[in-house]
Amino acid sequence: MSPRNGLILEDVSFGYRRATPTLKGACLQVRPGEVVALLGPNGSGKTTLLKCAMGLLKPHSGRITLQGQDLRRMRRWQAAQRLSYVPQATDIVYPMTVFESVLLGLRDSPWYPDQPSLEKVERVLARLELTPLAARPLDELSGGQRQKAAIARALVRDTPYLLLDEPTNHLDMKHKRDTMEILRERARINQQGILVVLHEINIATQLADRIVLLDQGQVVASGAPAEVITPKHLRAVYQVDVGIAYQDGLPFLMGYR
Amino acid sequence: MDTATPTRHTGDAGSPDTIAAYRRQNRRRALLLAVLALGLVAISLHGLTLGAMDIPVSQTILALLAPALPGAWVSPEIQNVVWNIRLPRLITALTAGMGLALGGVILQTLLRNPMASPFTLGLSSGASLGAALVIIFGFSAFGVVGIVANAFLFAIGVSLLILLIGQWKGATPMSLILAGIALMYFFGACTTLVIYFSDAYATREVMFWTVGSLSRANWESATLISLTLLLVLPIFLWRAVDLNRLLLGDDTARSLGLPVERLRILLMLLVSLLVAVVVAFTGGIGFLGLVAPHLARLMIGTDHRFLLPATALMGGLLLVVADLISLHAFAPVVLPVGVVTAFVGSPLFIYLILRHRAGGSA
Repeated sequence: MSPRNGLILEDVSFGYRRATPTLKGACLQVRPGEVVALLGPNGSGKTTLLKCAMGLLKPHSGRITLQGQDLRRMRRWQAAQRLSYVPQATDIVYPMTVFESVLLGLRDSPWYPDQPSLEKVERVLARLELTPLAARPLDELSGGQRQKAAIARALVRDTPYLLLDEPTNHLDMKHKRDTMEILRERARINQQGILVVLHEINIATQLADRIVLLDQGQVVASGAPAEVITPKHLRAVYQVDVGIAYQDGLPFLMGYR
Repeated sequence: MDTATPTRHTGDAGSPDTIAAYRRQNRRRALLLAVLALGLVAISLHGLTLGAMDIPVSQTILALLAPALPGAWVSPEIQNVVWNIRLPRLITALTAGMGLALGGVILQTLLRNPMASPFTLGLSSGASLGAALVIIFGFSAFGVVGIVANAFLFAIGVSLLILLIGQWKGATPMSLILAGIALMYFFGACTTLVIYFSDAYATREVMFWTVGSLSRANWESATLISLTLLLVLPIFLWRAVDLNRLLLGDDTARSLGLPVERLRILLMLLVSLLVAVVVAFTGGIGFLGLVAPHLARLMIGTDHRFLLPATALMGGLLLVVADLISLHAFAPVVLPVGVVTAFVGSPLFIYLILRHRAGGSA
């Protein structure tokens, strides 16, 4: 892989307070067309790492390069041409409609959106099955529907890289599967590189090409799902003993032991 | 609201219904803007006919057009009353209302706080103190410009303070408003102190800053406030999409490429200028900047491309109506217009506070 083509985090450290660093030298890379899942217990630094990758937080040390360019040297709009971001649920103070909120994702932020832009929004809404909700204000939607609207806003941007923070959190089984399918499709067909923070290990193993396991701000394991999701790793990171079964070569969590 | 969105064929990409619904919604908004503008013109014309001298609408219109018409169509007295007494006051009310309302809507968006306004954040009272200091201590060498400039300086100071408090970890929308109200009382007390130690004439000059009044309206105030609006409103409109993006939260706005901090400081400076110019001539007219944006948002939604003009029109309309009430409701007694706006605005403020406590976000 040429270093020009990737989102690469090298030795990234960050702390909200200097004394207690949240990230301690985390390394990670996402290549085009690849889905990387970021797993780890609560407070392990997953969201912080994602925010650093988006340029929302400035690492105290380490390097983040995006398509061969230093992220720190990029202006905000330049980074935004290459990265899209789906945050965890944010509260809504002044509700706009789903259509309006997805429209705001358009890359060139037109004052008066033209027909092709509107059609692009419509296609993404249709793909996420949000069409019936398009004219509804965001505050009338369920948590899961809002989450999908936020995903739609990121997808409409069509950036080379896509960063998502627990996008399946409020979704039911069907919508979880649908969202996974859409992300896979984006990686395979549009060659987008996708970095996704997840809580559910079974979703990560099905969705991701690679899994990065984070614990106390450090990467403990990284690789194919079957290499990372092992009883040994899970015991070390989550302090639980769980059974693991295999289906089509992918590991799945069974029950606690 | 439109209910025409079909729910049947969901996976069918390219069905034009959502786009049509969006276009319909925008046409409806444009129509509402036109209605609001027409209402404003009608009320303004009606206002020009009212007063000690009863001038019919036809005569008022002729008097307005007189400078452009050849020959004498109306009597010089009528022309004098319309052009030199009523029109400057009307335009001052109109533009001051627009300015305070625009200041309110921008603050509510920038701070993502429905209770924010120039009044409730202490911005108006800070500017008032700045203006009063110049009048009392008579740095009148620069005339009106000196008053406006000092009001602007004080407004910038308060703006920076608001931004700092907002940055502080653990600051909630409510704590920001409480701090704003504390600031309002502090600056109010300072103004009172200044009045207390000044001579009788200056006192009369400064008193009106404490409630807000249009009694000092003249062509100078009308022109200066209008010019400021002409400077600031296009910049706000140009940034309308960015303001929409700010509604999604700071992190999302940043991820969409918005330089959030820089935009916030730029717009706060412009709001400070706008509020300072209005306050320098009218004093601290309360609650208008709070009420108008909410009414406009109810009518037209949150999209700033429509919300900004709607808020301006609503603010203008409200202050013109409030001024007519203050002039004519208890004639010949003339109330300060700030009294009228407070009676309308304070119940809404209480409602917003209660709703905020109950729902977390309004």
